[in-house]
Amino acid sequence: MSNLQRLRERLKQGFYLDNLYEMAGLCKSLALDTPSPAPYFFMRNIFLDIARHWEEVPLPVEEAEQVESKMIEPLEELVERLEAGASVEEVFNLLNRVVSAYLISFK
Amino acid sequence: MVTSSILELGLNTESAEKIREIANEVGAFLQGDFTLSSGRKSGHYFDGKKVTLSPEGAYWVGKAIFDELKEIDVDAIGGLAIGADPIVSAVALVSHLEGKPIPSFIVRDERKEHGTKRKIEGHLQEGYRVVIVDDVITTGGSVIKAIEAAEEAGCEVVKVIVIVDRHEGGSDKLKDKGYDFTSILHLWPSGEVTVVESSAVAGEIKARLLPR
Repeated sequence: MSNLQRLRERLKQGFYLDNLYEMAGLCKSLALDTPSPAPYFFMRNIFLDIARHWEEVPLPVEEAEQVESKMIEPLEELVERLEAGASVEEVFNLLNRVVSAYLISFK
Repeated sequence: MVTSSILELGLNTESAEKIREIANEVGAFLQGDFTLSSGRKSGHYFDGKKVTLSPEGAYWVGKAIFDELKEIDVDAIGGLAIGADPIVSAVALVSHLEGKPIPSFIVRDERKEHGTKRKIEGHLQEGYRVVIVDDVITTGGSVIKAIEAAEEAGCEVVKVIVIVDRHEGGSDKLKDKGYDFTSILHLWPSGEVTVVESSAVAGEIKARLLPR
């Protein structure tokens, strides 16, 4: 299984601390293994940022699910299109959706 | 037999009951629907830092753990940041006041920043006999990371102590690996908090259910 496939499987498991760090680690490996690391670098930092928000604090299920509901779909679409070898422009637009979802979730 | 089981656990129940009382006073035991770091959902959450960062809580945690260690040959006490930070400081301070100083160290989980290794800050040397502490144990992930860091540094983990055992597999995992594990308080899946673990073997101790 490739790291991109592992990332896709991990996204299905949802947002919780251990999984966010696992996904960040996968993104780092992916970034190091490609001539186009930017999308993986961005995703890694978003996962780490969310993890830092939730580290060592009580995390209500409702809050975690609200963030998931905003972010999982654009992330899954980005990962799917990266797997399919999408164009730079398409990846950029999808990354913008991910970043927007993150900014809305943690404004 | 109640007395011998308490002694077997090595806990000063006065300290443990005081910590339970403080935990309730500072609102450390929360009820609700929480997502734990492992992804598991729970109706209860123990916010250890509310205890360990309170002046009285810090004192009693430091005292309880120091009392547990004063008859043992220990070179240092440490744990994973940030839950262990106030605990090791409290123990170090009490140990100094008691005339048996125990230096402390912190394990930083570099996974959070660089995704590579863990870094140890403070006083740790190869060959040290160390105690690993944490505020709470659930699946055991954080405690195991601290243990691994200490063992990778060439130290022997002689004891593991936490404030609250949530009885969700972590403590059993450590005991199965042969670590000497102790918890000050027990938070059961039902939400009850006890000081002394029920003795399932002899059946002679009942868990004392203390009001929360």
